Amino acid sequence: MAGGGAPGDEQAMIVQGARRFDADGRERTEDVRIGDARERIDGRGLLVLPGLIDLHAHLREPGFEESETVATGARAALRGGFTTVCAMANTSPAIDSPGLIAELVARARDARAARVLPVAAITRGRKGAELADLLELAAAGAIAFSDDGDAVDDARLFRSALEYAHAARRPILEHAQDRALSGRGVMHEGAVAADLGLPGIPVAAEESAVARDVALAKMTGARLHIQHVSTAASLEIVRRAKAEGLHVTCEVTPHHLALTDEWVAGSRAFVWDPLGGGTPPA
Amino acid sequence: MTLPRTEPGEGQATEARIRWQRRHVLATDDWSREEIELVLQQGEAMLEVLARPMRRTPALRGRTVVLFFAEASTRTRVSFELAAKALSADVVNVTVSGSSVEKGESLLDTVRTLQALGGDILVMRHAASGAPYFVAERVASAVINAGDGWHAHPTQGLLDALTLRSALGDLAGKRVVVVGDVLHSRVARSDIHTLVPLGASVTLSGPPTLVPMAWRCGQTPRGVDYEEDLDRALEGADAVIALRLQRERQEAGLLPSLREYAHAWGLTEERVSRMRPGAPVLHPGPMNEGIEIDAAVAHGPRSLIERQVTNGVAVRMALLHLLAGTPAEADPGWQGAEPPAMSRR
Repeated sequence: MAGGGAPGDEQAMIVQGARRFDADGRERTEDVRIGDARERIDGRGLLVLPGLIDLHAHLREPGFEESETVATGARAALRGGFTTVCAMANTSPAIDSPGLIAELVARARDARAARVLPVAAITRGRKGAELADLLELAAAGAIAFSDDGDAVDDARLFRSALEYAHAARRPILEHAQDRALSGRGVMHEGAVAADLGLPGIPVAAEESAVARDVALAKMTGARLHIQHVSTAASLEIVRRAKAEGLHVTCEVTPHHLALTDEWVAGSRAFVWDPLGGGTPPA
Repeated sequence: MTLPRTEPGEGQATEARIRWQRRHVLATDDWSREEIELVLQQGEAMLEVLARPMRRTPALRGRTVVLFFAEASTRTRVSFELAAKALSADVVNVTVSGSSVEKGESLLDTVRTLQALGGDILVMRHAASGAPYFVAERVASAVINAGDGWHAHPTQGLLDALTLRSALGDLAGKRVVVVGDVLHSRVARSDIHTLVPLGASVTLSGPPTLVPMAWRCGQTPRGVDYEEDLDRALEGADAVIALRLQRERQEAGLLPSLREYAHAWGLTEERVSRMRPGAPVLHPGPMNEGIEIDAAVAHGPRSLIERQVTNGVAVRMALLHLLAGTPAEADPGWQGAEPPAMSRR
């Protein structure tokens, strides 16, 4: 099983009768043997999955320890089946220097829970004005760069970031959003926002940013990962980029799959059941 | 329809209590036609009280109405204050600076303080859509929304309905044009959610940048349509409500100029004459004369703008009275229960 943590001898067990999902997406029902198999677990009605990887976690340390720390986040992740989490840099201060990376790595090690991979900020203080020292950050252990929470508005600066990230052999994870267009919007712009009198964010705020980012990724040859994609057209742009052979990937959040804007108006009608064959809205 | 002729606060209260079950007045979007009719009927009765030389009834004696306005307002606040005083309630004004209530945490603190002060009815205005729903979940007093963000201003919708009904009679089959900055307007939303249940239809008109895109693309609420061209919208209409245009909209890039806006969507005498003969003109105030409405129209024979002000006091009296007539202990459903979600129709 790929992606799993390293089980010690004390975890040796055999799980019988569970539905087993492999990293390649295949499902079968068969016994799973871990280590020397001294303990037997009745796995009927259970699922066995590879250790999951969270590409987009917020450990909130330093600066917001009242919400989460590296230790609590790493333990919670492991509890939920995630053996690896990528920690975003929108902390206070932002993770934008090699020293902060080293501190994060040390705290993650002390937590002795899920593996924590640090993502460093693209720009100093995540302010979108000057590049952080991307080469040094990579050398210190940053596995990727992201100003997550904010887009890099300046296309010229974003181009430079892609060039440096390419040189550092690291991907850029981009929060794709044209903030002039999204303005003070708080939800999807549509009939629900109109009825509720809430400022909306048009889908074009994401789609135009994704298109810009992909164009720059194509030009620079850098690896680009679009964060929390939420519209069909964004996905289509990513699909086309992949078909062209560009190094472009994307992610989606559970709530974007399971909920629609109706949820904001109090509708809880939609229940997504991915393992039971439910169909998420397009 | 028979108008109640008795003293509000005594004989009718029993009847009203049977039909009035609401603990809060947050928006009318989930109200039945009967509930709206009841408030309008009571409002008409209150107009009679206001027409007396002694404009006071003892209905709310010993009750406290807290006016919590977290956004600048003179008209609505004074209207509620007059309404509460005409019902002999004690009135407490809570003024807060905008900055201290911008964060949800601070609003919660303020609400807890208000709770401790122990008012019977809390009238609140807030710049955030939905804020009164948040508060209604957390206080024991009845909550009246006096305007929340772009979302709702139910007493304005009700006073507009009362005003239109006094001019047009039954609103069934009538067509009312609402023109202006619909996007940012809680008045437009509450007008829709009051007039449509009464059987009227609403035609929205205004610049494309100031009307929600969904409403311009066929996803309009029931009973509502959009006509960009105001002249065409007004053709044969039964009434028009002009919305206030905030000058900031130009700075935000939503309007080329106020002059151009006035040219395309300002109410002029020539334009209002396209409506049915005598069709009335309303405006929630305060007006920008010469921009959304010409002085000749605002002060002309069709204008019901002053009557709206009086009707506002009457409708607010009616609501205060209805809410005070529903004591918490007589309403087992509300305690600890969630207020209605910001629902859609």
